[in-house]
Amino acid sequence: MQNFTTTQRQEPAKENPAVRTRNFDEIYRFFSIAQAASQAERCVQCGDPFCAAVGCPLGNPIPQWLAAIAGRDLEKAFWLANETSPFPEILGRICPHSHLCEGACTLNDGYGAISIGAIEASIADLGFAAGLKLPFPGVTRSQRVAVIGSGPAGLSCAYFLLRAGIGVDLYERAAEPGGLLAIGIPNFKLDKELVRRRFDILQEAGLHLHLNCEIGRDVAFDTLLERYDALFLGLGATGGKLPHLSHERHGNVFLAMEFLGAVQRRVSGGILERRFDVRGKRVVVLGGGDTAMDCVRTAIREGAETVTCVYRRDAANMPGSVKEYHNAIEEGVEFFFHRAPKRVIVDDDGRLTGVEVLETCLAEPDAKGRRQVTEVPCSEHCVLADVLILALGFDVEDHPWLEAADIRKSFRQLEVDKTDGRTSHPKVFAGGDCRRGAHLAVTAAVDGRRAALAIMAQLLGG
Amino acid sequence: MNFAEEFKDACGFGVLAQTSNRPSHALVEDAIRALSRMMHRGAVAADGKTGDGCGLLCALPTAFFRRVATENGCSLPEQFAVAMLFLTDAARQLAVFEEVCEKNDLRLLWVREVPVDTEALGEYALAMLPKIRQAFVVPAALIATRRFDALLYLTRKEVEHRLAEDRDFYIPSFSRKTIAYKGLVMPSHLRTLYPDLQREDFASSFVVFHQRFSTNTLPRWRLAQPMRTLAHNGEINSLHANRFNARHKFNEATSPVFSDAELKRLFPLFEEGVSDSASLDNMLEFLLANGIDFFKAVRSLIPPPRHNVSHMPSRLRSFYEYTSAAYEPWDGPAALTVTDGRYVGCVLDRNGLRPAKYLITRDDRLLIASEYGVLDIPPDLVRERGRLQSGEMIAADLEQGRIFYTRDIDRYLMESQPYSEWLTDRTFYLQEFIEHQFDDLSDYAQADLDRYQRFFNVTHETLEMVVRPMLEGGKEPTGSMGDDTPPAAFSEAPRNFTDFFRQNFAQVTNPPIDPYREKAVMSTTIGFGCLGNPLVEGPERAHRLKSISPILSRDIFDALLSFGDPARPRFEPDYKYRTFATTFTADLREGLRCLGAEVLAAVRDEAVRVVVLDDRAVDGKRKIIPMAMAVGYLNQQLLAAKLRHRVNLVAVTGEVHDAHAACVLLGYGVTAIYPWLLYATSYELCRRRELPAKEIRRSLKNLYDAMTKGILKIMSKMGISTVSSYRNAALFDIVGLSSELVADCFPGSTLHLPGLGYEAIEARLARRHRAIFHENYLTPIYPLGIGSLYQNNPEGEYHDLGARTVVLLHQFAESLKREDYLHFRKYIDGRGRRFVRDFFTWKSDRAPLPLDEVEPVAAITRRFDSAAMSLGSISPEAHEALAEAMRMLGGASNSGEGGEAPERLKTSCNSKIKQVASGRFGVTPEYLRSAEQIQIKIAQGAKPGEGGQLPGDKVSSLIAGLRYTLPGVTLISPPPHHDIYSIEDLAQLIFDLRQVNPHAKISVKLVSCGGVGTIAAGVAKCYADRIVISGCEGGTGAAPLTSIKHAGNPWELGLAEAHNSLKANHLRELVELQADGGLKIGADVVKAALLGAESYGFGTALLVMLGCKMLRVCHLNRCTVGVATQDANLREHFVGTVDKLIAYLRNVAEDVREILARLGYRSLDEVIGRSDLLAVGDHPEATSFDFSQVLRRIEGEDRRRRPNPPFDDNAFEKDVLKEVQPAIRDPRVEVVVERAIRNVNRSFGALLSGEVAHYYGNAGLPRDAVTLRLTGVAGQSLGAFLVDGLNIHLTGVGNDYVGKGMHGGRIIIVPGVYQEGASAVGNTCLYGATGGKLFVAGTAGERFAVRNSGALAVVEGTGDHACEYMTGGTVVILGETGINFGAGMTGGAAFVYDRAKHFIDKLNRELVEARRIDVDDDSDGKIYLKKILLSYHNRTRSPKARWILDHFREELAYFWMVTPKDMKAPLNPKEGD
Ligand SMILES: Cc1cc2nc3c(=O)[nH]c(=O)nc-3n(C[C@H](O)[C@H](O)[C@H](O)COP(=O)(O)OP(=O)(O)OC[C@H]3O[C@@H](n4cnc5c(N)ncnc54)[C@H](O)[C@@H]3O)c2cc1C
Ligand SMILES: Cc1cc2nc3c(=O)[nH]c(=O)nc-3n(C[C@H](O)[C@H](O)[C@H](O)COP(=O)(O)O)c2cc1C
Ligand code: SF4
Ligand code: SF4
Ligand code: F3S
Repeated sequence: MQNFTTTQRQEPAKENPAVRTRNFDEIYRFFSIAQAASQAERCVQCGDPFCAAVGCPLGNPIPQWLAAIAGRDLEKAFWLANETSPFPEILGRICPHSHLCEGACTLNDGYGAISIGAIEASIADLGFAAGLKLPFPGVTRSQRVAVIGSGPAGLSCAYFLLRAGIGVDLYERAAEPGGLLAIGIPNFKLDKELVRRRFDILQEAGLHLHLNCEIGRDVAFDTLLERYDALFLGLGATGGKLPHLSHERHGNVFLAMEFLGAVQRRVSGGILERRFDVRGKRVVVLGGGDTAMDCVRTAIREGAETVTCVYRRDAANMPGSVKEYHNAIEEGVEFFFHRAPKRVIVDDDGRLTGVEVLETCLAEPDAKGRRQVTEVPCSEHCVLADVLILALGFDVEDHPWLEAADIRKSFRQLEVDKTDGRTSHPKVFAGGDCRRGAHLAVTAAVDGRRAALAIMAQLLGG
Repeated sequence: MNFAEEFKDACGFGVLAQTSNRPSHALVEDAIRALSRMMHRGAVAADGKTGDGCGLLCALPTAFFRRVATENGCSLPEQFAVAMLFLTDAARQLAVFEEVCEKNDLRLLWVREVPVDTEALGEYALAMLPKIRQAFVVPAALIATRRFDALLYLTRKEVEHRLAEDRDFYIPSFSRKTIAYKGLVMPSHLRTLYPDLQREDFASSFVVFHQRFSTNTLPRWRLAQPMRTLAHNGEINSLHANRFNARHKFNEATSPVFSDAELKRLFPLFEEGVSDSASLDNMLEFLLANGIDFFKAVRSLIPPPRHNVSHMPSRLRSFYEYTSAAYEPWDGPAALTVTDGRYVGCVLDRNGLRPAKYLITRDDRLLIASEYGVLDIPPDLVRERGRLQSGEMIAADLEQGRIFYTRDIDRYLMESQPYSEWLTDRTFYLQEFIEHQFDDLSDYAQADLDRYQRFFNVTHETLEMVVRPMLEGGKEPTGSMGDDTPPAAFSEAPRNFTDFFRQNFAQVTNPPIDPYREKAVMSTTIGFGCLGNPLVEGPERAHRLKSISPILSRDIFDALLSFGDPARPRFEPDYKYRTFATTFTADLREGLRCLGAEVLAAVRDEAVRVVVLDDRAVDGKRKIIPMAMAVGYLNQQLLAAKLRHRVNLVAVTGEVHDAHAACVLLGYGVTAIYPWLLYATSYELCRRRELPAKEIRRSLKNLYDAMTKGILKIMSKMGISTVSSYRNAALFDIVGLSSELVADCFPGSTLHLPGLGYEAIEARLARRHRAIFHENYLTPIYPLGIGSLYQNNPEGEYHDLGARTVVLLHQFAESLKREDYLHFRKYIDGRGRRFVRDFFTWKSDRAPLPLDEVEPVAAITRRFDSAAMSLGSISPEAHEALAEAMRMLGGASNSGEGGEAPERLKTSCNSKIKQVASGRFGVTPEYLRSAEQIQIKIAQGAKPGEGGQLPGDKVSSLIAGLRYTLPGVTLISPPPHHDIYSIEDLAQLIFDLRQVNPHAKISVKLVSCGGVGTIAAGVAKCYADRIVISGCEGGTGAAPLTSIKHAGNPWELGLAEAHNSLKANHLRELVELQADGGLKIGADVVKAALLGAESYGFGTALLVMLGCKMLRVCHLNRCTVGVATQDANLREHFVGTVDKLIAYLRNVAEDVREILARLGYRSLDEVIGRSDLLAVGDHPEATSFDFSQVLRRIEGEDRRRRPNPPFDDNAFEKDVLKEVQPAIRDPRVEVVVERAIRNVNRSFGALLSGEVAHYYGNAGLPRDAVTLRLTGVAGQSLGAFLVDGLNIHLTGVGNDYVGKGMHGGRIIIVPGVYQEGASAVGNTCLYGATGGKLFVAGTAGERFAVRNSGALAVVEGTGDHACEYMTGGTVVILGETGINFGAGMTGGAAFVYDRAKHFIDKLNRELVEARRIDVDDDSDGKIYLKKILLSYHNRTRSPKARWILDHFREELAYFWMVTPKDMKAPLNPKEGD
């Protein structure tokens, strides 16, 4: 250990841009045991591991599994990684590490943080590849729980409940389980096989999966309330936010999710709706978050002629993961920073020709260090585009049946008790985007876990 | 507790005897003279006249008594005894005395009122003066002399018992052979006090004399020594164990002298409220009275080391092994003068930790004393001069007029009985009955292991940080920084029951031992079997089963059981065993009671002798009784039922995963431990790593050794060297258990914050039990908890310096804005009740003040010091930033141990406080002279009672330069200061330092622990100016994890105790108090102030301001922020600045102002010691603990008021200084000074050196600038801290510490009359020397040249442990050496002239090797040696040197050259502990 003085930080190898933009395969080639070990050996084994203490929302035992893999003990590392995290191979891939564990890593100042995410993903992959199995007790308890929504929140909740031998029925309105993991986060970031595998494992462990089943439409919420000892809502926040510009519902203006969803369905074997075909077109994406990055990179892969990202702040102030920004650049995306959209420009015969933007500048950082945007008067100019994609964040859709069961909301988000994830209804718990607004898979996982533990305590006592 | 009556003591002492047994008055007068010559070893009380007590024990002056008797019309018969009586209520007490006499066929002839002249007494002594009488007693009927003696003893004991209530009633002596005169006076006043002593016919053939130095200022008449059979210098560390054992040892004894009925009447054996010395006296006297041979009695209580000593005659070994079964050593620094009226002698403890020097004159006088030169005996009258070495004894037989040396006594002892034969067919080592240890692994494969591990709190962390290092490295793991977690009592996380116990450790009044370098004197051997009759020697007492460690492996355990199982052929009733489950279902207290009843019955009725306590029965229903609780409880029950002596306790437990837990069990009475879960856990670890059986065996052996070593280590902190003396010694402080629980199970341990009782503990047990067995819903994927006691973990135990704290502090460090500081403060304030101080809230008696009326920030920061952090453990950048910042704040920075670059000393980066630690690294005259304050580090919060290692990796060329050694050499600081084994030694060191730098204040750094108050008082009496009470939260650069976790107490406890104890002894006004350990915010500071601290030390918090992130890899030299590393690249990343430190401490000071304003006070001075301004907050948690001891406020001064000047102003050397001035003014001048010197002239040369260093630094003066020609006997520390240009030539002899810390110059010592092999200097010479030359035409004492790093020395012989920890310089020894030569020696070279061919046995080969130098390929060695010998001879004219030189070719063959095998390898540079 403590090899940080001699070994440099390494990212996992990437497929080169020319090749990878021609398909939707994952771009990273994760570590072999040897590579993972030598990266892990850089770890200081801090007496005060910031990575876990302030970095990782799940509080994963990072130094511990780093030490384990450094000692070539894959089994132990795999167990440690799966003890606290419901799907390390997924989060190791899609967490914005630079803001979380790796951002907090002691070595992040000047030495290069431990490549925690990549090692985590590698440990899990290698473990599965080596045929390691996760122990489940099987459904041993009389109590049953319904989980609504199969995104990371629901998945996490189900995972921990099943580990306690509590039977779970998982209701998902989509045809594919996984929420945004399945449809949303593109395949080149997260291979859908991995998501699928998680569900297989849980089904083996006793999960009942009800796909294409929307609560409130196909099944009434009350029936669930009667039938189950507890419920967990992981409904997500998939209602795309709109910028309120003229023509924003024009045929060539897509919401990020529509576009990503459509493409993803094609990638997993479906056919692509005509209007989402961007081949040879000039695509402009509004927004600077992870979603925007996914849109631009998807558009590139879909054969767009040019892809431009328009964002109000600058690179340094993008909310998303730095890594993804660089990937986008490598893949040939152009960035227009300091620009705010004003209106969608449509020519006389209704064709979309571009978007008018205003220049902006950033005020001094405020208390939270976030810098407010001010617009520069009469700096309007136009960015040409055939297709406009709006990646401006998400809102929780309103589900009428929630009010019915008087489950309280504030600003469209479900209100829960932070300590146990319980909603205003004693039997109903919730977590993930539907209580935080569009956020992260890892925080959704945290919520799912917290709720699961609370449900255990409530149903089994103690 | 009454602080004024708590004490520890030590002294100067001796004996003077006329071996031809001609009583004389001159002898008595000489004895008194000798005693007055050791005044500096005693102490003067507050009233300036009262001593701590001194006295004489002499042969009964029959002629004198006959005369006074006849003068008073009473004629004494041939046979009579005199009782010396200290009475408080004369009439009644005399009546009782007479009554008991008559009951025992004795007749009280006459009571004499002993004339006393109260002129001699100080007011305090006078106030306490008892009525002093002498009772003349004769046998009522005609009886044999022996019977008469027996009756005298019996009578005295009975009287003592009858009058036990009268606290100050005392019988100094009651004998027909000896009488004691003692009192609370300075030796010089003894004759005045007792006119008897002036009478010409008051004649004696021997006198044992003693002067006491007590740590308290309320000495009592009865505590003055000598006692009835002995006078003692030192301290018995194992006292509690010895007393405990003596209470049951004799349960079934029958005496050859007394009838059983009479024997019973002799008990209780020990007087109440007396010193350790008095108890030892009680014990020895009891043995002698019961007809046990004088030498056997003495030697069985104070045996020499034997277990790891190679060159001891086997039959002698047998004697000691035999007696050890019945008598465990009274362990600790001890020099005893003993007498039974016929023999007078002196014996030294196994470590030789107290000095005892003897002189035999041509007119048949034997003089033994702590120092040479207490009588002016002309050199030509001296027949022999010598000193006792570790474990030696010398005695005079006054009847035969013979002198017995150790070898004579040994011969007598081993030939007195066929001990070897007795042992051979009765004592067995359990190891004998197994093939290979750890062959059979079956028992270690534990079913359902995970669950047990979870239940017994074995976490991932335990595996990785505690168990694995033991398995792989065979040693305890090392860590760094302090313990920032709450004490077990306040913790919400699962904690082990043994966490309530804090290890005790030695400081000041007794020294810790080095368990690695001095293991020769230590032993972990344990024995099973019955005691038999300790009063009569016989083969049956040799029935023992032994093992080399209290930790059992399965096979050894089985071997033991095989002797205890009637079904087995080996069965012997003495070992009959039974297993008892230590579990309970419902009620803990009840469960304990049942267990007790069950065990007692089994022992009483079914002759069970080995009680096996087993906690493996734990399951879904049954919870465990904490093993320590079970053991402690049974121990007390068995004692009360008078059954303890019959049984051995064995614990089969899952609670022991480290040495600490094991020691807790030992401390409360188990003989052996089988840690089943530890083995199972380790075995599992090995299996995971798929080790082959052979490897597994090796690993488990490592574990076994590591545990054993760990136990040694913990014992050594308390200065205890054998497990048999450690068992039952209860050497722990307990924090937060209830008084009832402690009284039931752990009496003898100091209890702090009485709190959790059986119910509370049961609740905790139940919670854990439920969590593991019932509420464990989640199927674990990783079977164990992560654990968070050492490494912070978001889910686990609270860490005060956790990530949040650090982040907040770093945010503040970035902005330096108060608001950011306030975020940090808010977080700390809101941490809940984690530490003692958190339970206190403000309670003022005044209205708040406007802030601007409170003293300014600068007035407060002046009281802030940066805590000692050595350059070496931290980087130069950090070290200098601290120095600069503290200077700007008006406070002081502390160099820590390890010197400071001379360039810095003149700049703003000069640390005002210079530390003097046990390693004496970089302690040079210039260094000391550059200080405003010199701090003697006795102990450090993170690892009290331990030395340290600076890992070789951190010894960069800079560090090496400062510490006078080579880069990459791992540097060891010994656990004790080798010149502080006792309180009067500290006084001496303080005196030394004052001479070198008269302007510097002297401070002494102690660690909080029970009894620290007593010690603080003692330190104040050594004329210190400041005392630092350091808390267990304190940081460290490197320390063993178990020490960081389990030793020392929170500073709040120690500070309150020290403050009150100083007040009670009227010493508070003489010394300043400082607290450190975990101080972070203003509230901490004010609380410390209210509890009595005038100044405040900050360590870790400052490092965090400099960038520290609590990575805790300081010991690995890998600190990423360049704070605790010497690595150049890492230091690049150092982000600390002076401003950050200043801003932080100013903000802390600002808090202080706010709080003061709120309390309504203007300055800290007004509130220091005002514990009444604190109240215990009313929280549910708070109500379960009793904080009254901490908040207690007693009458007296609350802070330092006046200086603390020593009574010895060293006029002698001041006068010499005048003559030397010219040479100092003009280095071209050469000065020669001539003086006669006596033992009372101490530290000669230090004052001059300091003066020279002041102007010329370490460079000193030209080589021959000053010559000091002395004749006579020099006092201690001759030539201490000498610099170049000063040359001492002494015709005569020196005492202890010659050339201590010398840096240059020359010391030549040539006795007036040369005798080959005669001793010419005392112990611990050249300690920490960094240069210069010492030539002695005679032999030296123990630990010669210990930690020498540059001096060149020649002597003609040494005692034990010579050249210990040496890192440089050259030592030539032209004669015998003692054992353990060159232990821990990592540099330098030694030449040893070994004609007797013993040397190799005495060499400690761990680090060094001895080579012959007569071979051709080593010509440099030869030539170098010859050069040295020539100059040695030129200077000393030593005949021995002459002779060797004359026959150099032949004699060369007898020389060894000793050098380190390899500077680095033996001490792994990767680790420091
Ligand atoms: C394009 C994109 C990229 C992203 N990239 C990242 C990334 O790299 N890293 C990261 O950490 N986070 C990323 N996120 C955010 C992350 O995916 C979400 O925060 C996370 O998925 C939230 O999980 P959730 O379970 O709360 O909701 P979701 O994942 O949205 O799951 C909600 C599920 O509930 C179902 N549902 C809703 N209503 C009903 C109903 N009435 N009946 C039945 N089922 C219902 C939905 O069909 C959906 O499957 C990204 C998000 C997007 C959109
Ligand atoms: C890195 C480091 C090195 C230390 N070195 C020494 C030392 O050489 N001598 C000493 O007496 N104390 C030493 N200490 C202990 C401190 O002097 C002080 O007692 C303790 O750190 C105060 O507690 P705090 O750190 O919680 O403020 C050291 C502490 C640290 C953190
Ligand atoms: S879950 Fe995300 S944040 Fe936590 S360790 Fe894994 S990658 Fe880092
Ligand atoms: S913070 Fe970085 S270096 Fe420290 S333990 Fe975590 S991963 Fe290792
Ligand atoms: S704990 Fe030690 S290793 Fe550095 S970060 Fe702090 S100094």
